Amino acid sequence: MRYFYFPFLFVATLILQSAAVPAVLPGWFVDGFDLPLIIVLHIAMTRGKIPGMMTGLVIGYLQDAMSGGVIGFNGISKIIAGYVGGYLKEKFFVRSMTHRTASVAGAVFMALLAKIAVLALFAQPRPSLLSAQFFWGFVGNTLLALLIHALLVRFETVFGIRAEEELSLGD
Amino acid sequence: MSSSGSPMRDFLIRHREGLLLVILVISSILIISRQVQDNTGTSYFRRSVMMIAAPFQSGSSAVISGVRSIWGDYLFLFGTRAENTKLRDEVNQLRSEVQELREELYRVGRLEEFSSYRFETGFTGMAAQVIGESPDPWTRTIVVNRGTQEGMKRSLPVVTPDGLVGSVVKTSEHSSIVRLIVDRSSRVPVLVSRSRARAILEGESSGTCQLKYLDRIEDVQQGDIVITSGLAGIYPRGIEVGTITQILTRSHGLYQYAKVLPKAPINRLEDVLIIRTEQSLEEE
Repeated sequence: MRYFYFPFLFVATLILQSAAVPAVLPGWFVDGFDLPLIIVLHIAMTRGKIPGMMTGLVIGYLQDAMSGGVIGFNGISKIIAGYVGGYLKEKFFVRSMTHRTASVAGAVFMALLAKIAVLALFAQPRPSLLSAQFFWGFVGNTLLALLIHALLVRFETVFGIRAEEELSLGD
Repeated sequence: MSSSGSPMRDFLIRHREGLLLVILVISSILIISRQVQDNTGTSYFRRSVMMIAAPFQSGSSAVISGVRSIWGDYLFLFGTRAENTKLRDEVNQLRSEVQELREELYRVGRLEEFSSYRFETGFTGMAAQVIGESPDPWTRTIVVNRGTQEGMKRSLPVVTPDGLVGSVVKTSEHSSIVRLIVDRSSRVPVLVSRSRARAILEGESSGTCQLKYLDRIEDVQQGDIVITSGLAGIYPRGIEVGTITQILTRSHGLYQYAKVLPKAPINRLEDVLIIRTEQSLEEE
C-alpha cells in the first residue's frame, strides 16, 4: 500500500483535475481550482521541503505536459510551493488552526505569485494580481487545501502511511 | 581537526534544500526558455505523457459520464417507495435503454449537424470527441481523441456547427490538445460581419473574449456577429466566432474594445469538428 500510494495519488490527482473537476464543479470555480497544488502542499507539510519540491517537480511537469502550454510554468510554481510549504511547516505549521491556515494561505499565495512572476518573465498572458480569478484561486485553494490535507492525514493514519513527524488534524 | 569535513561540504549539506530549490528553478527556467524561443513541434516528453494519459482520460471520462448519468437519472428513484421490485427493475431497465437510445440519438443528431455543416460550408475534416480538459486552471485547452495517426496536425482549426472553438496546438499518436479561443494565449484575426471592421480576438480565460485593435472610428454595435477574417492563414474566412455583448470606448487612444461571447458552447463541448484547411491539404 505504502509503495503504491504516491504514484496512485499523483495519477489520480491529474486525472481528477483534467476530467472530473470540470464535470462536477461550476465553471467559474474550475478556473482557479488547482488540485495538484493542494497535493504538493499536503506532501510538503507532512514530509518536508525536499519531498515537497520533488512532488512539485513531478506533478507540475506532468500538469504542463497535459495542458498543452509551455512546459515548466507549473513545474516552477509547484517546486516553489513544495519548498515554501515545507519551510512554513517547519516554522509555523504547529498546534493552532490559525497558524495552519496562515501557513497554507502563505504557500498557496507564493505558488500563485511564482507562476505569475515566471509568466511575466517570459511575457506570457497571465491573470492580474487584482483579478477575481487570482482572488478566488487563492481563497478557494487555501480552504480546499486545509480540507483535503485533513482528509488525507486521516486516510494515511488509518492505512499506516503517515510520516513520523506528521501532525494530525486533532493536534 | 573538525569531524564534519571541509567547509564546502558542510555548506552543501547545511543548505542542501535551498540549493536543490535553486537548481530545480534554474533548470525549469532553462527548459521554458528553450520552448519559448524555439516553439516548434511537440516535444518527446509531452508526446509521451499525452500518449500515456490519453487512455486514462478517455477511460475516466467514460466512467464519470456513466456515473453522472446514473446520478442524474436514478438518484431520486432511490427515495421513492417501491411498489413492486420486479416492476421497478423493469422500469429501470427500460429507462436505461431509453437513456442509451437518447444518448445515441443525440450523438447521431450532432454528427448529422456536423455533416450538414460540412456540406453547407464546403469544409473537409473529421469529427472528434472531447476526452479531457487542461489540468492547469489557467490554461483553457481540451484534449480530443484524434491524433497524428488519424491525420491531425498543428494549427488545424476546430469548430462546432455553432461557431469557432480554437485550434490544434499539440498532437500525439491518438490524441491532440486544442487551445480554445477563450485561452489567454489565443489570437484570432476577425471581422465584424455587418461593418467589415477588422480586429484581433483575444481570449479572457473566463469564458469570454475581447476584440482588440478595433479602430475607434469603426461602426460596431452590441449584437453584431464576429467572424474569422482568414488573414492569418490558420482559420478559413467566414466562420462565426461570437456576438458582441459590450463595447468599451475610452476617451483617448486609437482603438476601441468590445467583449465577445463565443457562439460555440465552450464550457460544455462534447464533440468537435477539425477542419482540413487548404494549407494543410497542400502540405500533404
